[in-house]
Amino acid sequence: MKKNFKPSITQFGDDAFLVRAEAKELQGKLNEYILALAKYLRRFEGTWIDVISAEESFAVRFNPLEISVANAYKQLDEKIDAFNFQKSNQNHPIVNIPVCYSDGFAPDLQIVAQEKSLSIDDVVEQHTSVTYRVTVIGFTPGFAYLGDLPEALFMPRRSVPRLYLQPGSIGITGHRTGIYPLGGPGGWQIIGCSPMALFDPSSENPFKLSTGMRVKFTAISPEQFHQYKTQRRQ
Amino acid sequence: MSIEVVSPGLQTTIQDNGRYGWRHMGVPQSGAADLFSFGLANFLHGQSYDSSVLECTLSGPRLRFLKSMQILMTGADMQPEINGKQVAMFIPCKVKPGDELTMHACLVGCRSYIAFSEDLVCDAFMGSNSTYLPAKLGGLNGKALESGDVIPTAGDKTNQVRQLKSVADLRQTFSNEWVFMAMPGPEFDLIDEASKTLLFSATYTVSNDSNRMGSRLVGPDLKIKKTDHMISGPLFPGTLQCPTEGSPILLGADAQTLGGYPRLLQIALVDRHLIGQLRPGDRIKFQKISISEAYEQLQQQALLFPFISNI
Repeated sequence: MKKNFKPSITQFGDDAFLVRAEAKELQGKLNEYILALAKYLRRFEGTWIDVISAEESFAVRFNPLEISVANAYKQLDEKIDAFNFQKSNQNHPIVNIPVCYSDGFAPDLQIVAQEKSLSIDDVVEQHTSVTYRVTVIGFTPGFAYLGDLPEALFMPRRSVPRLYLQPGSIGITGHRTGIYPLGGPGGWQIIGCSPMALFDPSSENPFKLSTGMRVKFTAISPEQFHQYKTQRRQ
Repeated sequence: MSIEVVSPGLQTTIQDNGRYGWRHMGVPQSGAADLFSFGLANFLHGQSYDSSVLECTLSGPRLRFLKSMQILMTGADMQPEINGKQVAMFIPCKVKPGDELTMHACLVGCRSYIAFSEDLVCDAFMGSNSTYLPAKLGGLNGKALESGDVIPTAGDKTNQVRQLKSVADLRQTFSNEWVFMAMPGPEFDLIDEASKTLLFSATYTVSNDSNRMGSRLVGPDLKIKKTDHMISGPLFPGTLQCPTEGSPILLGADAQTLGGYPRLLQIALVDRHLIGQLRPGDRIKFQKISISEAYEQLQQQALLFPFISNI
């Protein structure tokens, strides 16, 4: 890709920089560019304590007692110039994730259906119709943001977050859908639950999903959900 | 098998300097909520800067030692007693098998740290022993200590304990009133001029709804411009984020890695550790500081306390 643009670098407190780029400069490849650049910077572990990727920006943290702000800026700026963005032609395999959309697994499904003037079956049909891409991992360990959700399902966050979601809860908000691997509090509208373990600290690779991967949801019954959980335990 | 938990206190966890380099997979930093008191404990005790310690919250534990070792307490004053006899914070204490340490409730500050002359043997995850409760990572089975738990320890390093002539100037005193140095965050310009002035002059109160992830602050409402679409951005400890309607949240050690609310402030590194000492009811103000002033203050802190460059 021709280099006719440069992301902006701004100070984020006294020990970090925020790197942002404009969508129009990257012809629909903003997320891919941000993830690739963040991954490239992660190779230089000595300088950066953490490279925290979001979907359209990332932050790099440094220790100002080891490297001055000016020097850190210079290094970041040079590395960004040296980075050669190649659009990836790699086709990630599709990960199939079973989801139970039944009563007791989907506290907000009814509300979403009502708000969107759809039947519950339509919502499930829409949600399972798309092959999603993991646009970023973050929030809590292994939480995957997936896009794009079909426009018919766009919903705002809940005005009051739920205090407890069960692990595997599938939420939607705006143009994203996501999976809460841990349970706990959350503000997205919950329309289903997956029995699959997406974060398993005892495993050699604790993270089932990573950025760029493709994901498809398959609707399962409560019986299949419990069967899957039982099998996982064995 | 060498430290038995007789009673755990309100929330006592094993912590070290934190888990770095995994934020892009959603793994929080964790580690001691007050990294300064943590670092000071290991420094005074002559232990390596990342040695695991116990972090006690508001009201501390009662521990029975099954082995001889040396311990040292820093942070909020929990009026430690060994076998019912008061001992000083910030000074190494010898304990022998059968001795009992009791940490009481603190009245100012929120967290105390207990450093040991032996290593705490626990479940490391991604290279850190820090306990992260929401995902049950690190520590003892990823949980806060419970009565009857036994923490295995190994490798006596008593001979490395520093014998400091005076620790008086290393002691920190806390109060219930705080002023934190802060810089405008990435979405600072989403609030109007009056709100900007307010943010750097108003007094906020720490609500009960506070934990290692963050402290919710109660104070005057800020006028935040509504944006139709704010996409989640990176966060780290020290970010003050503010929902468009609702109380600002000052993020702590276990802060989530991404968030969609405006990031109004970033607490300067020189004061960031104090977030771990905020207790419900405390009052807090933010004072604007430039990047260069923040750096100068951090350097001065590092001259007095060289260990902070590691944490």
